[in-house]
Amino acid sequence: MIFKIISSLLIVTSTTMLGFAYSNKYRERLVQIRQLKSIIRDIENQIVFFTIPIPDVLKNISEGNNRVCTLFKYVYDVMLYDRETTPGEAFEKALDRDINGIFLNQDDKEILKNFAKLLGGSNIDGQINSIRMIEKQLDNQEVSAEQEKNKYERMYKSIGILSGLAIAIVLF
Amino acid sequence: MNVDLIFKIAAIGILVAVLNQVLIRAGREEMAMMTTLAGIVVVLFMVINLISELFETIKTIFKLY
Repeated sequence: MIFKIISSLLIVTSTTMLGFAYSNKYRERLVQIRQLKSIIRDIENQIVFFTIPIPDVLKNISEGNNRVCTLFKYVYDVMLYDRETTPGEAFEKALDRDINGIFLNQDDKEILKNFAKLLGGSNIDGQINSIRMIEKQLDNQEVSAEQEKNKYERMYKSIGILSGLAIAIVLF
Repeated sequence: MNVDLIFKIAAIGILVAVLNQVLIRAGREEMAMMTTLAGIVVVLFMVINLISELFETIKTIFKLY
């Protein structure tokens, strides 16, 4: 009897944790899109006001301590390893790799790739224009991420708990 | 007579109802229908023995074998 109760509790807690992990994905995505926006603003400042070369900009960004900065660290590593790569190729390589703790979805990554292709491809005015465009796209992504979060975060939490209870009751 | 089974079915019914509401609120109508169907199937499997028992009893009562 006690064994039954303990194992049902184990099932319920594990599915609850699974549900929370899934719902966490939506919250983290929103947070990381916001971090990405601030990083892009930072990049803009470094390009426009300090006229720092792109690899050094990436190096400065990658020294930050949030999750998205680790992505830029990968990009910087790729560029450092192979001096011939353009920022576009470096971002492509880094984003195609599955980095642990990055919750951006395919659309966000596509936007970032497009941004990287334009990076370093023109003079300062051209780059400002492309940064403005990316900021607008990221704003849209932020709005959609927020909507998704409101919609699915609670759903996954309740599904986790309820499915655990259902399994426990069926097996009891 | 085993009364536990009735409570079990009642609990599953409540859980499936709540899950259904949650999924519909989140705009996943097709998933909500799937959970309802799954609940029905699970409960059916639970009572299938009793149903067959009932049929056997009827058969023996009316000498249909």
